[in-house]
Amino acid sequence: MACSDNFNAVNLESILKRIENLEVVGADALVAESSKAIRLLVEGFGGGRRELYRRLNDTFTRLLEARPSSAALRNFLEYVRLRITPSMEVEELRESVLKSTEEFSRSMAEARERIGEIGARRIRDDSVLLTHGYSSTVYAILQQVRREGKRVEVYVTEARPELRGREMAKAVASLGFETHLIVDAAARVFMGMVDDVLMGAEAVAANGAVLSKVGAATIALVAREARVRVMVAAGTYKFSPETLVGKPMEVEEGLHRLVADESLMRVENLHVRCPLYDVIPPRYVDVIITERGVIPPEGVYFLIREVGGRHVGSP
Amino acid sequence: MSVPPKVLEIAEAIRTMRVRGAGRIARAVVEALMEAAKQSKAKTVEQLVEELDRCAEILLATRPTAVSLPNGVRYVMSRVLSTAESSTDVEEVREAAVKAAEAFIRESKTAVKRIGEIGARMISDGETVMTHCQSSAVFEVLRRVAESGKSVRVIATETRPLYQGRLTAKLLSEVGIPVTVIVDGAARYMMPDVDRVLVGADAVAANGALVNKIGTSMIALAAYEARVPFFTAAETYKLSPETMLGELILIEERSPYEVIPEEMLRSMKGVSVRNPSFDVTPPEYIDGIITERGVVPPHGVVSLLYEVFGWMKADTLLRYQTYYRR
Repeated sequence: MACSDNFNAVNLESILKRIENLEVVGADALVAESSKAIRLLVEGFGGGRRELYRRLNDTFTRLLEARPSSAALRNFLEYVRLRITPSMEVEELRESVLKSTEEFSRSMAEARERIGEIGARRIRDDSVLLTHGYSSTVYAILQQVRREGKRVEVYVTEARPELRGREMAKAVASLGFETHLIVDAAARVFMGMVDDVLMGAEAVAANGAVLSKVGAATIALVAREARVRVMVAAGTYKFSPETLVGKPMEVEEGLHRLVADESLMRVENLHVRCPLYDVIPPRYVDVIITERGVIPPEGVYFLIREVGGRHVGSP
Repeated sequence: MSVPPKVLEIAEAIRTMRVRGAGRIARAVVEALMEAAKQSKAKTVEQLVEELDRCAEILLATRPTAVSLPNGVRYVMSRVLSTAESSTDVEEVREAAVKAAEAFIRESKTAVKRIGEIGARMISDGETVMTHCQSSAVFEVLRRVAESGKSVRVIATETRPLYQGRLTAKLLSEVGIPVTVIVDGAARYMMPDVDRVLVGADAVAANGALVNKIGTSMIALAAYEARVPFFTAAETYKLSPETMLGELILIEERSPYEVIPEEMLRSMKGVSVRNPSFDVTPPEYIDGIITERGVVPPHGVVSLLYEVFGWMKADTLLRYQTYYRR
């Protein structure tokens, strides 16, 4: 996956372009790359403090607009933004930004580790799981399951259009678990053999609805039909506090080229829609595994109130 | 006793999916039997029947799920067998085979046309129809709708692993129908924009359950959840008479390399691919089955089965199946 490596030499603009072109996927990579972009900006900056403050805010806005679905990115940018003021000197701005980007990334990693520990307790020995596409949080749980010596069998959907389920299947199999790769459309066929569905998230709304990789909502629906538990692994940094004040979660569209090649695109009357996420209604979610504990979807509201605007990583 | 090369050729084309789609498979199989009958050098009726049986066996072994395949074989062979019972003339039996095959091919083409007429009546002006995979019956319905001057839009799922949805999209756009292609996983996301789901069929069981391309049952469930009516277009030779005798429809599982390139899979140690080609949509998610004999609710399949296959002997039914024969 070309998302996080070997970018030391690449400048700010090209990172932003990659983010805008949806080449960077997943909360971790998105925050890591955005963090890198912001650091590049402050580290190489030679102008005045007003200019830097403005440039930072412009970059925040641009990142936010590029990837409106990612709650982690939004929360990250808020976290960094709240820690700078127009009255700061260049050096202060630089220091604050370097510190807060570092803090946020660290707390994300800590949250994921904690979710691994908490989530692994929910996974029973010898159970059969189904997961959809790639999620580093789900992977963290499976890693912990492995450490605890429990065995699971895992069905992994390939997750069109990006097909990152392949990467996930490879990672899961490398933990020594029996792993089956299936097309997304086959989830219902195998649901009868599955004990728990375990999926990652892109964002979690105040009502407990979960924005996740497109197809996730169908899988949750199929799980509900088969009375299979649906567990979503999501750090509170993926919660969307702005949904509390009515802002809907946005579903990005893109990567049409993965659905139809150029010759197909040229066909008259033929169009492509390519939503990258969909929304799992809260009634199809049994639990959300966060670093602060396992909560029902109804609990998201309370947790958002508790975390408030401070987000993850704050004292 | 030799099997004509044409038969082997057709069998291979079906196995490798160069010939695909239940209707086309059935016609190809029947054509193969017709060829075998024409080319046969059999001296006795028993010999001819044996030869045709041998061909039937090869053809039946190609795709386990397509019920149209044994139904095509049964259509021809039941007539061959009943003629053979009362005749010692090879030519007479040969002629019975050829006539039966011609009749089947004719009827099957008429069936698709008739489904087009019936289905098109059901769709009102301005509807958005979601479809999955590729189906000649569905295409015929939509083509007729457009031809009659009603406007219709189609949302076509790409249909992994083999992307038949792209072909559907191309075919529909060629007849002037605007089509939107989506990934299979986006079907539920798009469902609020959909007025009706219309898919083809590989087989329909006696209880009205639909066997169709993998993913169909998830789309049906998503439609049911959104209270969008779900229809399937199926010629009656896709009904599975043996399910009345307690047989289950076997779901074919195809090569993993349809899902992921061989080299890539080899590099993924410990990963196995499961690639079922079809799934089963329970009758409770189906609003109607559009056949050439009318639109039937799933629980009407039983009486339709009697109507279409009632005359056929149970042992003929069981003799020609796609798996564990006799």
